[in-house]
Amino acid sequence: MNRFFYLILLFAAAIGSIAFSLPWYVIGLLAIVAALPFRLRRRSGFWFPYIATLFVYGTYLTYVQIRNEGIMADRMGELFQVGSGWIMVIIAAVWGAFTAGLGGWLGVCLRKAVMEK
Amino acid sequence: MRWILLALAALTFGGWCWLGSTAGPFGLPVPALGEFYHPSRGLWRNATAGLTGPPEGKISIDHPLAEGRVFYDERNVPHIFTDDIHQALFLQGYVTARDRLWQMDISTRSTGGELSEVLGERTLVRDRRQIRHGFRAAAELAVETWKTDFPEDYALVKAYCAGVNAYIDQLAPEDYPVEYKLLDQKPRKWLPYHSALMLKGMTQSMTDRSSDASFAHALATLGPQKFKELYPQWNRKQTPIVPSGTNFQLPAAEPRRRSPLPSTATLPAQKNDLSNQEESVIEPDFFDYRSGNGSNNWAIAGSKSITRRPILAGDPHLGLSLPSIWYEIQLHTGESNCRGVSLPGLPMIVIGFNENIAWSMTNGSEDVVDYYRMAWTDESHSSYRIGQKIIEATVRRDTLKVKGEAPEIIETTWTERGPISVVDESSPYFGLAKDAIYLYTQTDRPATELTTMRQMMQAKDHSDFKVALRSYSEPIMNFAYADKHGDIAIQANGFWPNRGKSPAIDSNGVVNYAGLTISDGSKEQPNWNNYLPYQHLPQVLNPQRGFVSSANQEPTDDKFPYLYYGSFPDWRGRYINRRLAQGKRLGNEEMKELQLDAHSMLAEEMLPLLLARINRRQLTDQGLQWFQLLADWDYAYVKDSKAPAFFEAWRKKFYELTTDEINPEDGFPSFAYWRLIELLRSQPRHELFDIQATASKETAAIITQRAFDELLEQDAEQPIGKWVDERDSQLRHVGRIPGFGAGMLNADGHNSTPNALNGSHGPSWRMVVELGERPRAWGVFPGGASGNPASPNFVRGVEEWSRGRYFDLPLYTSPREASVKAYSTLIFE
Repeated sequence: MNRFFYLILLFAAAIGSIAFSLPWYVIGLLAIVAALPFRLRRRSGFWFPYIATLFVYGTYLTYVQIRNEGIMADRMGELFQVGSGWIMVIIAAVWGAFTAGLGGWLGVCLRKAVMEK
Repeated sequence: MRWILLALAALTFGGWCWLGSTAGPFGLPVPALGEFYHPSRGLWRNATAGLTGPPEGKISIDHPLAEGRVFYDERNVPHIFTDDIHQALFLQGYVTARDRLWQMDISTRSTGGELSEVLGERTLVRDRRQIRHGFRAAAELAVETWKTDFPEDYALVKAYCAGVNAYIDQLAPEDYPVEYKLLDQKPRKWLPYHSALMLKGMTQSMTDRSSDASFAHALATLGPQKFKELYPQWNRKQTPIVPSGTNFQLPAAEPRRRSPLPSTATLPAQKNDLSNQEESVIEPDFFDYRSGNGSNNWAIAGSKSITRRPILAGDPHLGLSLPSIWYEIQLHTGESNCRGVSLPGLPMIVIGFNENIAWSMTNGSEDVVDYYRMAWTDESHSSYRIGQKIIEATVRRDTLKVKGEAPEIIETTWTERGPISVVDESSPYFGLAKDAIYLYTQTDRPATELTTMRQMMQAKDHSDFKVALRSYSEPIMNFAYADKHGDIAIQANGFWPNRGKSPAIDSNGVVNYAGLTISDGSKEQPNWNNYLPYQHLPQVLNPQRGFVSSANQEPTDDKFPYLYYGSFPDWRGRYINRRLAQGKRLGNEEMKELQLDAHSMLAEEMLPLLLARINRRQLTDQGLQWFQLLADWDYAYVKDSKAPAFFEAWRKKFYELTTDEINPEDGFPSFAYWRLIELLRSQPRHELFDIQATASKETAAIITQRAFDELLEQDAEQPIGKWVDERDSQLRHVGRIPGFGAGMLNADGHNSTPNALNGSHGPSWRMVVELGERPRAWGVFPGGASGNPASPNFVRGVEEWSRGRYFDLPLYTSPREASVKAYSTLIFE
């Protein structure tokens, strides 16, 4: 149950991060906060936010990429010499996911150090 | 253990946040990647902005001029309807910034020497050069002139700036154009100074060319006789803008006296060691001025047109980039209704038409840059002598900001003849004072092109056109004109240096080369201290032949009573004149065809002379094939043809072999092709054809054959391809950002043909206007309205331009009419 609610919160955080155009690191901060109420393993603390954000960001970026017919991502792909614009989509989604994952991990560590004595 | 893991996690998270928030971490050329990758704040926000097109709805801005309506058509071109011109220019500033903000910013930084502030050390050399050549000072002086002498026009610039700034003020960082995000840069407040820099940048691109040092070298090396033979200033085959044989009966008129250059010194003169500052390779320019900017324009009278009314055509040739140098717009105010193209960063319309008239411009070829060797009185160059007078040099100090580094102070020594612009000791221009039209052009009767643009937009007939041109200062442009009343005209217009009456031969019979070569700065009189009277400028109104035209050729024949230098090759002009002189009536389709015509007079004149000197009996099968291909060629630089590719390589090889003793790399001026062809035709045994490095005596025939043979060998190793591949004209991003361009332009043309696509340079805007009770017009440029690389409107016209298609350019007469065709509407209230 813990994990389910944790995941719901993380989905909400990722969606909110996009919807409210919050600064990029806020997804990490939200993941810290989201981890505090739940008793989780550190590994879960990282992977849950990672997967939730990867899913939300990835879905949204795929939508943008398709609607934009890849124009921007392809240009960026050429600029950064990564080839296809889809690689840019993956990089951006993974960047956000990793940020959230690190936040979640930090949140769990914080809980374990401070709250689970 | 828990605390250790917490510390580790905190450190990792903190480090990651630092990494994602830092631009250029570890010296990597990347922006702050966290924000940049963010789905709704970074590059993806620009991708979504590219989808939505122009905004729809009401915009409320707290500014008295923020009133009016903007109708965007299907190509995202804004049609602005307001009550007065100030409101229109406010909205023009707003919508231009909305589409082209970064382009405006970077273009003016390029001219003002401020690139390093955002790009770092890599543009230092270019920035130093721009500062030393006086562009900041020139823009400052222009603004002062606007303020003092043209308050009405200054108010228009301020209205435009207010519009730009109103847009900038609304922008959140996530809404910045993607280039700002890439460079970790912020938009800066737009000032009249920046608009002045735009103008100076255009003048630089049009006029800042000089062969003074190379002509001086050639004159000294070859002697006067040889110099005159190899570098004659008049091409007898030219078809000047004012038709040859015109009897110049100029009315009595006073020249426009040039005001002295105001002191730019804010500090006392001080010791200035010119040698301790480096200058090396110049970076690419945002305003491409080294490729030989040129243009075409012409107008046919009702007597030659199918419609019985004049038709005007114009296509300025400039550096091609994305976004385009032009921004299409319609400005409908209480006083005028005009459509055409504007320069992002500058109010009003530069080339266009209204309900009564149409106009277009080509670059004047006249030399308006002179270099002077000053008579310094001391080694520190703190003072110099003019006549018997000792004058202290002044030093202007400019701050050059450099991203991530301490700012540099650039000291430039200024003299009465202009700034000492070149500090590279290896340059032939080292230590010379540079007098240029862009620096300070004012006279006892001040003028500004702002007035010209305003009056042109409002002009109703030829007399209004003449009034508008009188206010124009720089650069010299050939204004073609047509109106619905039936008048056509052309005028080489601007502050034209008065170098004296032509021909200038002194008492010893020596031709006056003052201004063509490096001048003596110690002489009391400069090469020019006034400008031609306005009434004396070369001009034509309703000529007998039924058309006017220009393609950067000389404006007059050598009977024009004033001395002037400088000309572009006349291949385009001669061909256009030939075509227009043909008897049949012409319509807008023929005008478009001529703009797209890839026929080369250069090839037409040169190729038969080359082919005639080839010994066919000695040719291999491969040689015979090429020979036949060239013999059958119609001199059209068609993209899929191989003949122009071979001819280009052949003529260049022939040119190199011929000019080995006057090679530009050895400091000589470029040898004109028309003169080469003259020698090839009439003096094939001229000593110029002899190759210096060989013991034998070569003739034109020998080097023609040699060049052909060498080319065949080259072709065997690496086959010569189609013209489009060999020419390799790339449409790049204005900031040269890789991936932001549109690749190779798949189009016909060459710089010797009316369709003058060459390198990344060519017809930047094609326009044809049929005058009548209601004008009909067509136009296209290789780009679109949007400056957002993610928008389909970024490249909207590239395909059409390449294929020779045009868009209709309706001139809406009422908001109601515009709204019917509008894809979206912005209401400012």
